[in-house]
Amino acid sequence: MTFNRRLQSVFLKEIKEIYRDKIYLAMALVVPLILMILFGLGLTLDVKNIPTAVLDQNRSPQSREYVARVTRSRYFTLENYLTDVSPIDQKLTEGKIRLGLIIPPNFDRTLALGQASEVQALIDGAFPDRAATIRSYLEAINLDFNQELASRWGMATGQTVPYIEVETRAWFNSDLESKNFIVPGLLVTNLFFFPALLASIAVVREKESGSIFNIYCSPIRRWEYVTGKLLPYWGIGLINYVMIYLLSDFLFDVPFRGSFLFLTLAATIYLGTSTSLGLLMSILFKTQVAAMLITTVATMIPAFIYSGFFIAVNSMGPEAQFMAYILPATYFMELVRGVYLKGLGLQVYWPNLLVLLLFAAGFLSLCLYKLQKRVG
Amino acid sequence: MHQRLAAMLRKEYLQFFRDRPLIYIVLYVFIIEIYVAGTGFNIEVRNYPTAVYDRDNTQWSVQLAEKFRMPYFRVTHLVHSDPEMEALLDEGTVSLILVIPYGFARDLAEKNHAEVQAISDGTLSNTALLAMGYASQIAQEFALELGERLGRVVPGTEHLWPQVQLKPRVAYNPNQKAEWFASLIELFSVITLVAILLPAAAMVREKERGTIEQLLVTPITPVEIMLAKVISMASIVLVASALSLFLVIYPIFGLPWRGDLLLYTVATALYVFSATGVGLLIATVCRTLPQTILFLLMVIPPILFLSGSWSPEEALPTGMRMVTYLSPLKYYLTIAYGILLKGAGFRQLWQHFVGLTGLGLLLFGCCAFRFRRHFG
Repeated sequence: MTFNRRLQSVFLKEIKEIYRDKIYLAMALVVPLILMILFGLGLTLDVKNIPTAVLDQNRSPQSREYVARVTRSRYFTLENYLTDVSPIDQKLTEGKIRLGLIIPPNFDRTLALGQASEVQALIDGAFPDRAATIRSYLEAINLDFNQELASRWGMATGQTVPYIEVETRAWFNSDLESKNFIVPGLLVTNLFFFPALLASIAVVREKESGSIFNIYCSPIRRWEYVTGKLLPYWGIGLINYVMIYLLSDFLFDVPFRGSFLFLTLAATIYLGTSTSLGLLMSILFKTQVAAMLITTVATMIPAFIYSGFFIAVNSMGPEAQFMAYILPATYFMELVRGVYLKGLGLQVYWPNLLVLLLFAAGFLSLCLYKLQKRVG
Repeated sequence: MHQRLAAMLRKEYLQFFRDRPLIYIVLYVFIIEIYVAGTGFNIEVRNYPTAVYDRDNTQWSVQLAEKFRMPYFRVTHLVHSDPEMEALLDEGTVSLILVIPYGFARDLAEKNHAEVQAISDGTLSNTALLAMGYASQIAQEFALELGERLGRVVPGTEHLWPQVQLKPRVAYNPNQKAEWFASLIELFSVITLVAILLPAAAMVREKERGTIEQLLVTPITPVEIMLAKVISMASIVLVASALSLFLVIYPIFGLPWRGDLLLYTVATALYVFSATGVGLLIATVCRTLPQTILFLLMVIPPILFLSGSWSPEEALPTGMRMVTYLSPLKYYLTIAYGILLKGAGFRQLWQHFVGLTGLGLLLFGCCAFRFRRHFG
């Protein structure tokens, strides 16, 4: 392929430089996998096994049954069975427990009289979403308990309490396992910051070492230089993509309902976007440190926070939604989860592909515009 | 020693402040980024986009549907057929569909018991779980209200049958303000990023350019070189995090003045010391900046997301839990949350202080050792 010798020589030079640094090459291929394994195993948003302390001041069969319903569910684990109030606050402060349950002394008697008895639940609010989830689990367990009390009472007294049962069903992720959305999400975040950071020093490095002057005074055109720099990192990104995909399938066993071909097409475009973003940073800044730090700040944290990785974009605040919409990862996130879990394809997600293409085109034209072949 | 250290410090500050984009980006992440993350980031269920599929179409079913309102739910669509429902969920337009079956009102009137369905988009399983929990509560409250209206239950007294009233109290963050959580997490993430990245990059740059050799032939010792990097970094991070606390987190998000700020400053300085140690250790292992970037990519995201910021300790597999003891952020997170949110003092947190200091010393010792071996 000698369609363009100047482009080819930049491309080959970049490849050689990558290939010569064996440690770099090995890490470029392995690090995304390591990250994937660490995150896939470690980052669960399932709220399970919440360490719980119980202070049962009643100690009756009924209070024990209530406690057992809480602690026997898979959501709570009994950490301490206390005999007085004071340790609860301390254990919460130290983060040893996340929930303290206090049952009053007259629990069973009040209920036997047909009255309402209060149970206090102290929840650690440092993680608001987890606090809300813990609360909601407790309310559900409590509701069940009440329902049984009421029906027993109703049978005994002839009074009836209306009841609406809500049958819940979750589509697309019927087991409601967080790994099923986290692992595809990681494909999106990793393929955003990783190629961008690799590309972020491709040009600035030559600026710092001074070899950029060779480019300035060579006949190479700007687009040839940019393309030659871009392609090797794009290629690494594609290899990463395939490996991450295989990992999601074989190690994490995430359901894949869509078309692999479509996902690959989308990933190719997306990698073009993230690589050209990194290259743009490399062209914009004068020092490697600045280019690297700014690329990290612009890609790593936003990819996790605003792309919809943890929460849906439509329940974010206006400022964060704005950040989400100017972030390419958001559009790919929607697409990837749709392909994995919903089995949808081009007919639904063509606008996402279009937006990604526009981003890539925008970044590349900025690259060309900012890469001036002159000093200063 | 003082003179040499002072000269070295002066050089570090000069180098940092000369790189204008670097200053802007540090200011940006510590002020604007924290603000955006704090306002926008809402992991709770708020305004959950919802559709109603009312097949019963009676007074009661309409009343039940009306109960699905802000702040938890935002009903945006009324559905009239199954395909319509599927399309809404597929495209992610709504995340929950309330299906009220035909015969709902009749069942409730005759049998005192009716069923409805809540079908949710399980893609983001944690919010789906919460939303379904809220749906059950709303339905049950409606049933009770109906019971009162029909005279099956005496109005105003839920005390006609026995019942456990759950009184949840969320400690430390009673209104479950996500702003506090999100802005603090963001602050800790940003501190981590800057404190690991900058010194690592600065050190490798000296290696790449060979200026480190020049430093080594001067009377300055390796420990002094490292100390200069740590002190300059720590002071920059401390000033920057003070900016974000006093310009954003306290005044705008109204975090209560609970903690001992002096203790917090000490903890942050210790943390920056440890984090800088991580960065410098990486720099002693790597030869080139590209290698360093890859190493940082392998180390930083796990530190940021697996140290208990997003998923608490109890959600990790045991093996991973052991590994997180090597992450300085783990200790700092407990300390900083403890001080700023819970108002804890040194007495409750001393173990974590010991852990943080120990880890910092260990990292620093490793650096010094590698440094000597390399150049001594």
